[in-house]
Amino acid sequence: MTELAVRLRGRRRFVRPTWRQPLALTGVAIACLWIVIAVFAPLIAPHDPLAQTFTPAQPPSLSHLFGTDELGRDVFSRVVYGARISPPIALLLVGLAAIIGGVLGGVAGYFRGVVDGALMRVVDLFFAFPAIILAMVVAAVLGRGLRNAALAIVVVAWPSYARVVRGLVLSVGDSEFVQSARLLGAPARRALFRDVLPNVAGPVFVLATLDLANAILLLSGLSFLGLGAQPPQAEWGSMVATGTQYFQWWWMGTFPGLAIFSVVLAFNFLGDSLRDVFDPQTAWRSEETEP
Amino acid sequence: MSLLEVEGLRVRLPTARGLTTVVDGVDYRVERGEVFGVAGESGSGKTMSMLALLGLLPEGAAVEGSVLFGGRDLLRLARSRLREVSGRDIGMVFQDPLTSLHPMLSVGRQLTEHVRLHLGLDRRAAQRRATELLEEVRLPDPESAVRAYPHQFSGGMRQRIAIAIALACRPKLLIADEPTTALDVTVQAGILRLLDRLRRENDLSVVLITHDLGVMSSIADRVSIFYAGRVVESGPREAVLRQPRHPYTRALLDALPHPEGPPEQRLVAIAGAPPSPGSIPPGCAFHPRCPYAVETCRRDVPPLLAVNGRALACPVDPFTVP
Amino acid sequence: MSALELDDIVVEYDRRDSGRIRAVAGASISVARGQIVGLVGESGCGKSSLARAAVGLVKPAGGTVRFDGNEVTPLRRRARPRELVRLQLVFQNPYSSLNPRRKVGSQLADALVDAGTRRARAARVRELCEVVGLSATAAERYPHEFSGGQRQRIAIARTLAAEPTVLVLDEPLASLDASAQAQLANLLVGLSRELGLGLLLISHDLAIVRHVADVVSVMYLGVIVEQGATRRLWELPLHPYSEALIGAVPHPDGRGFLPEALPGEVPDPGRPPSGCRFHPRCPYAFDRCPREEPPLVPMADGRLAACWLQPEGAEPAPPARLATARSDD
Repeated sequence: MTELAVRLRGRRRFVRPTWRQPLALTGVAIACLWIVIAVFAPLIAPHDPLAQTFTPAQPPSLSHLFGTDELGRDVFSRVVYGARISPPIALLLVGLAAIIGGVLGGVAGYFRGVVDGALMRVVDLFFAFPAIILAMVVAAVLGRGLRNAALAIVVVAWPSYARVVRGLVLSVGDSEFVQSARLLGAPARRALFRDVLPNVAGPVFVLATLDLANAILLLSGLSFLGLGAQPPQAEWGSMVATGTQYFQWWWMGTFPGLAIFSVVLAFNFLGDSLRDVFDPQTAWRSEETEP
Repeated sequence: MSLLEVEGLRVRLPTARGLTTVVDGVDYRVERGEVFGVAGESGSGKTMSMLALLGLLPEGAAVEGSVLFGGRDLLRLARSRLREVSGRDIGMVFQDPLTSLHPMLSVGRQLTEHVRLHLGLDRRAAQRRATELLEEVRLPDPESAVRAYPHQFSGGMRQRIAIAIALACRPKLLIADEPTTALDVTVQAGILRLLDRLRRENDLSVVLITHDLGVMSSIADRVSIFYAGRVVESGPREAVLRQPRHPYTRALLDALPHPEGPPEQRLVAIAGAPPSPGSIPPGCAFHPRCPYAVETCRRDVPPLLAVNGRALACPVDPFTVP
Repeated sequence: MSALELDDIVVEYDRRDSGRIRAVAGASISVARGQIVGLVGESGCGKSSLARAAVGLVKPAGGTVRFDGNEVTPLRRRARPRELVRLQLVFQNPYSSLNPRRKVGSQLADALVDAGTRRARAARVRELCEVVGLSATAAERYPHEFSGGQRQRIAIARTLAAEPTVLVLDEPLASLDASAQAQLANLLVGLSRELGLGLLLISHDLAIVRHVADVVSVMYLGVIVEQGATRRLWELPLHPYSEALIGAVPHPDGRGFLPEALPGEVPDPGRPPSGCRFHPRCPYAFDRCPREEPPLVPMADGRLAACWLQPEGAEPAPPARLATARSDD
């Protein structure tokens, strides 16, 4: 039955089919859009995001597409410039967390035994706290500001990577093709870098992409709580925070909120599709080509 | 009238390249009280043809032809009606009892549910029937077995339970798809003997699907050989297996180690591999691997011709080739 | 001297709720160069554990494994000792024994590098493909593009990169079609004859083993119960379990032979029966059987059997005859 099932599902050609799926394309489109906006912010934003020169609390109009905020700043320009803050920082901190967590997890999985036990207990310790609480504590200790909020999030995010990478290194390390390499005479280190890590990279990449969404939310959350971006920075989270205070002027919080929403959505779509590309299990089902 | 008459059955499954034919015009009959063997390797369509009977094909499958069971065409029945008929009159046993039995329900519960649903028995009667059924399949200590869960049993015992469930409503037809493939050889022998006894005692017809010709030879009365979605040969078990006429059947038998034959150390392997659905050669599907192929084999699909109770889809009779 | 010698191997492992289980409780097998040794047994007999211990993937709890005189030490983080590299293993599952992300050619080249060739040459990779009956273009493809039988060939080709003298094969034919089985069986026999490879072929399929192996060991619940030349084993099985196994094999000849079933079930390896492990299911068991476990002893013709009905040094005789003879006096 296995043979038949495999044959019916067809043989998969490598990266091709996933990028054609509508969700992935949407994700890519939105992400590209925001990259363009971030890069060309000065050209796209009609006004200085910090300039408090306009009439405050104006609803959206032709001259102010997203209206103005309580201090008379153009919300549209602030949202545009905000694309330079939240997404890049989120990318950076996810990258950092993945590297730190990945290396530690890899070490634990490779050396096993005492080293593994010790590292995993540390990871468990971090997992004992809810993410937002831990991030708040760290951010509060380090002090206000965007950079400290980002550091706090790295501290909160790395354990997931450690756990995932450790699990993968252990299971891939026990797989038969790695055992074969070892039997042929490969030292464990060569098997690790040549056979184990390439099979680990995929799932980690997928995790990171999905984690980007979490990172943005967490960053915005911290800013919302006053621990991240400080006024007058045009960071989306803090804009939403201010917006809740002035509820009747709905445009102040809604548009930054929609921006966060769209970026999170885009990263989620991307991550889901990437999973199909990289995960050998679902890769079989991604598309049937030549049977 | 035969119990089961399949005519012109064609099944196509959805794939990325459109519909792919996995069963390509298959005819056969199963009489009352006989064991009908369906043999073939992977990709031969043997399982799919059975799934078509029971309406278990995946979404989007296209089915043509007719499947007359007790006079009614199963392919034309509404889903609910089909479920009624198949639940009560057709039992099915799959290869892996671990996945075909519900892991969270006790064995007794799985049996009684079946019986209460289709026969309308009350709880007490259903319990009794459940214990009876387990006795029939020779499960040791049936009283405690009804309270146990599938994972507490070994593979062979789970298969006996699956058979008990399949026979709960006294069906007329039992379809067994590779029922012993996952089992040890001594356990397999037990299950084969069980099936043989059950069908004699209950006037039960069995469709036995397997790739193992030895298993077929043990209990089948008539056999049919599937290749690439078509029937290439069928007939009484002894005739087909002792004097195979189709080149594929011959090749298959030659490739098998016969436990009583001389143990030379070279098995006669068939070159190549069975084609997967979607890349079936034109004309006779076996022609690229056939030592007797002639020009017409490449062009025309040989029809299945019946002579003297045996059917053969090959214009070149190997016995007449010098 | 045999190329591979397993001497009284014991393999244990931990099971979650039941402590330590003895998968193998003292088994000895030897494989000479150019010899094909079959190891047959059903589920729970410990043959896979034995295979892993034989190549050093698991550390035996007792006994020794020697390869060409060297002790086979279990794998650690360091590279496997050079002298052991000629002892290789082919796994059962062709779908998980190849790296899904690397081309076949790269994996074979990796194998050459691992096994000590200074530079993996494309020519040698091509050679390896051809030796196992694959075209040279196979090197450019990924494992998922091949069928199960072809993948097993790739796995075998990979082991050949080490120029092995002994190959242990753990159920290599189990998940294959009849066509592929026959092809692979022929390939293995061919390799053994042409390259002088010793093969330890582990399988539950007696019929294939009968065709391929020179010598067969029969394993039940962690111990070897019979061992001898294949032909003799089939003509005259000495141990009641071997007899039952042979009787249970179906015959594809159309004669309607209904295989013999063996009553009962294989016991839990964690709780083996007292005395002879087979006695609860043995049709000839008598009072000594549940009390003492019979040792594996040689018969007059050199075959080995572990049964109280078969005394050491005696002429081989069928268990049934010996049982009635015994109960007569």
